[in-house]
Amino acid sequence: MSTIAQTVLDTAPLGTSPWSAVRRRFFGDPLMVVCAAVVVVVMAASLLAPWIAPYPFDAIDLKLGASAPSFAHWMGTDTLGRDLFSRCLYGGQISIAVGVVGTLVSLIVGVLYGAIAGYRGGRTDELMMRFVDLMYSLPYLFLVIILLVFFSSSIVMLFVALGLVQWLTMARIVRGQVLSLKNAEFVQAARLAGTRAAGILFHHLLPNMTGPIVVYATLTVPSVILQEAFLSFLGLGVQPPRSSWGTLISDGAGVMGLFPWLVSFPALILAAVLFSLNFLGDGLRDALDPRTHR
Amino acid sequence: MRDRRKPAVIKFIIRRVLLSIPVIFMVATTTFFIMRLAPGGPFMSEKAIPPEIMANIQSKYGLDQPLLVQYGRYLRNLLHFDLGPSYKYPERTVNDIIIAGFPVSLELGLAALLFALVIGIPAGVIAAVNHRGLADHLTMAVIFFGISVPTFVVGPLLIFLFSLVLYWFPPGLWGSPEQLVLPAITLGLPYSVYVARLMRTEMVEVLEQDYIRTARAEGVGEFRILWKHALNGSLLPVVSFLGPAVADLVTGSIVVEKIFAIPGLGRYFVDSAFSRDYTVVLGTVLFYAILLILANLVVDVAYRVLDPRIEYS
Repeated sequence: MSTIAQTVLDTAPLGTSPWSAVRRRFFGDPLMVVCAAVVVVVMAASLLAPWIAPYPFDAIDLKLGASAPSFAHWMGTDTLGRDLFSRCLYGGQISIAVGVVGTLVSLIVGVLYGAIAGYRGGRTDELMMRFVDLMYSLPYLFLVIILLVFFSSSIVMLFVALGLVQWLTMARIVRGQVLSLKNAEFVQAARLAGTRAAGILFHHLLPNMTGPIVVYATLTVPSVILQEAFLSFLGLGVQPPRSSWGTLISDGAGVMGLFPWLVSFPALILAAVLFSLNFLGDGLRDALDPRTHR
Repeated sequence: MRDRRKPAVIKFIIRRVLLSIPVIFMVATTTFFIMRLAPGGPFMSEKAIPPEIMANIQSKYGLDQPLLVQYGRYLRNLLHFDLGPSYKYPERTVNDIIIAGFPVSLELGLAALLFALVIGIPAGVIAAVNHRGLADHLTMAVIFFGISVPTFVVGPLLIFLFSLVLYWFPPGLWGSPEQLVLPAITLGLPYSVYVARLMRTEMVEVLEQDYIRTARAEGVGEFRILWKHALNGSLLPVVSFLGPAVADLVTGSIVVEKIFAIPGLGRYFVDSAFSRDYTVVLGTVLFYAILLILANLVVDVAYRVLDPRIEYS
């Protein structure tokens, strides 16, 4: 046994584990580093908003009204005289929270669902995946809108509703991975050793598919953020005086001709973050895809 | 060979149609109960209505009966394709509203799709041909930009630029071909980006295939290779993308219809959700569910026709 392991170790080329490929690709591409920096900086600034925001997010100054960017308010102020920079920081908290929590909900539901379907196989799998197919063909966001309109649009509802839109693809991905792995020798060995199904799933199967899961999760965060913005535009997202990037943009878009900075700054931040996350997710996928050799 | 496949297509379609009946039933049921279990109702307003009048209105629409009775009646009417009266527009039925609003949304959606394909396919091909060249990086940059800027920023931006500054196109409303341009671009832009992305990935792979190399070795011209051989092989993912795209176009058109004040079905849906016009909400959701199921079916059939290797199951 040990000799086989030794041979494998000796013949395996050094530095070709998937994660080292990720690392190489990441640092080899300056744009990737820039994107990661954008995400980290914006996230940190939003989290630290209570300490670094120059004004409270809801401090109204009607005498000032909408003012162009200046030294006191370097992103300008909105029509109620609220400091836009502070509002962007606090809005980032909500947008990022929605993105992360929505992704987590989809991750938990999707991974469990897909893993169970793939592992049980047979009729259960058939039934569960047919259900996913059906859900795919539904106007899902319509149901989310109905949920949010008819039961007050609280933040918790927003988290849950958005997470529930996203789990379908995750379930499909995980199921496919489980199907292709569940008859592998190391799984058979674990089964023979008497490991229970849950143990096999969590200790043996899941660690082997972190790659695809991480990639899809990275791409889910921006799409959830975008969907929150979409709902905000319809007046269903975060309620005033709180704001998210989505509500800031939709408020600003209405007065674009008069006060262009009100839409430009939040839109720029949102676009930069979405761009970075999409780009990182895409790069991660390329790096983890064994078919791309770079 | 062809004759043997034909019954398979028909069996496939019949099976899918039968399978979708319980789905539509499920959508109707979920939506019905979500709406009715929530507080409020279509006749709630700031002005308090005298209880006698309220009772009168309620009994006119049968809203005073037990919920299950109302549900049963709704399903019965559904079998006759009768979606009921609107509570907010008493002179119109839900069927009227759909007949009035859907053609508008459809025209907008088709124009957006056309825009997406006309822009997306050539962009993807150009990127793939110049794989890792300047044109590739440029297209990819534009593509990433395209998915990062939300529709409700693009829309007002286009209005601002082309209506308020350049006076090229009207800023909103509906009816003339010029009024279609800006909304269609706004709605189609994200999809042109997806199409380009799919096209590029697939084209890069197809161009490395043996049959392309063979064609090159035989001296077939580069343009002809792209047009006759590679394009066919790379269109499949774009076709399969069209199914989910219809769903996204439908939801996207809600926002675009709002920005450009277009009287489409998406706007009716949102407005009626806010005013708790139960029947209109339910009717539009059901209508869209059926539409999406049909769209997916058409795409699946097209996919199998284009790629005979796929089995019908």
